[in-house]
Amino acid sequence: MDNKDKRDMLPEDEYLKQMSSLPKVKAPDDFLRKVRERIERRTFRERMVDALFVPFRIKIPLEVAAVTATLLLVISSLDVIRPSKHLASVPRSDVETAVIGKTEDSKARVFISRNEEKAKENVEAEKGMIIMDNIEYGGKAADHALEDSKPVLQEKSDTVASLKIASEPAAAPASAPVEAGVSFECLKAKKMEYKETELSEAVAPSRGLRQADTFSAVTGLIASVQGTVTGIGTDKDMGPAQYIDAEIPVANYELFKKKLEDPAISGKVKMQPILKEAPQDRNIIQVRIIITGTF
Amino acid sequence: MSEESINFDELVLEHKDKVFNLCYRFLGNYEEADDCAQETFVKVYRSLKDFRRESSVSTWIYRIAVNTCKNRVASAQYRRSRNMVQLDEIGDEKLSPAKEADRSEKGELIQEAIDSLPHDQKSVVILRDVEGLSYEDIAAATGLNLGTMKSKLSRARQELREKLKGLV
Repeated sequence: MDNKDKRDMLPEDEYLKQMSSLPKVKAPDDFLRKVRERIERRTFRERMVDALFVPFRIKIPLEVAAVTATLLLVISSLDVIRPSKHLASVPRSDVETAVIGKTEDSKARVFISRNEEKAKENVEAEKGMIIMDNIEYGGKAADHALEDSKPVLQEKSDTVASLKIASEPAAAPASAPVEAGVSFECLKAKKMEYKETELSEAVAPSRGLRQADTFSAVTGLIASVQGTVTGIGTDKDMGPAQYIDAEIPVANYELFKKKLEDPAISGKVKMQPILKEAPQDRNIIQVRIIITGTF
Repeated sequence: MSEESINFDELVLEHKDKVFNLCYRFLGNYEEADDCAQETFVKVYRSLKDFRRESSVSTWIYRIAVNTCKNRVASAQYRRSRNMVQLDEIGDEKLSPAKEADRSEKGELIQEAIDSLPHDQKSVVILRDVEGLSYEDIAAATGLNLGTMKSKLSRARQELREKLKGLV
């Protein structure tokens, strides 16, 4: 700083003198009281905020906090990727919706239970039938088929809905091609599933691979008398068929009974008519063939 | 009354004038200084239990006061109030302490010069040349390191000396 600059400024000692001579402004006499009032006057909101954000005084080692956080993360992740745990809590009586057929304008929806679905899967597996939950078909024939297979929901209990066919067409031959969407056999299978609770408990069928042979022999027998397999009863866990429900034309019923008396089959199966299910106005007899042994 | 509250009252009584003067010199307004000094002590009260005695109590209180003043100057409410005419002072026959303080024309000129300084320079020059704190205490109160603080003080003094030349 040169001398000219210094000349343009207040001398330092004069500056310091002036600054130190500034009057000291004193606080008002009631300053303490005002401060006290202000401390007491804190709003409810301020008190709430203070209470919410009270510092966490407990000291936790960082390692412990990290391990705890990791464990919580892992447990929550496992919960997310394991949905079966959540599904297990769903009541078994819950029903699911399946579309069994629809026209261009309308859809027919029926409720099927899990057991019904399992029966359907067995039909697929054993007979090679293709049953589709949602099949489109058009035309009058399709509409007629849909009309014939109108489902009526009949409450069995509070939560379980049973399926019954209101009116059925004449027995279709076993060899007849499966109408897409109509799934006549499928529907019957679903219906007969409920009979399992009434009849199958008394049956102690043999299980295993050989049972499939028995099943094939019986279904072949039914086909030979122009009967129709309408349902297959299965054990919920084991899977293989235990009984077969069928519709046998009245004309061939005696023949069918004779064939069942064949030594190759006799003793392995037991037949009983399902009297209450047999429609009176049709020329068929509904039977249940219980598989009691293997070949 | 608890021991803590007794200590706090003593603390207020001991430091209230210094804090008030600092606030007044920083803000240049008596009412604002009153409010700001009260707020400073409310903050002191709330954080008294967290005070770790790393510096002296007075330095700690000065630091809170400086920060409170800076926040006040930065607030929109303060800027608005600076632009408004204080109508309530018109016709007030009894001189308020503020008017007592401003009665000296010389003092008014110095205050205007101080007001024109940037915040950092203002706080440093008030703490050193008005309050008479040591360099170390000023550094602790402003949060500046010693070298920076001295540099700011030097620039502040130079500006004030230029502005006050021929006026005082």
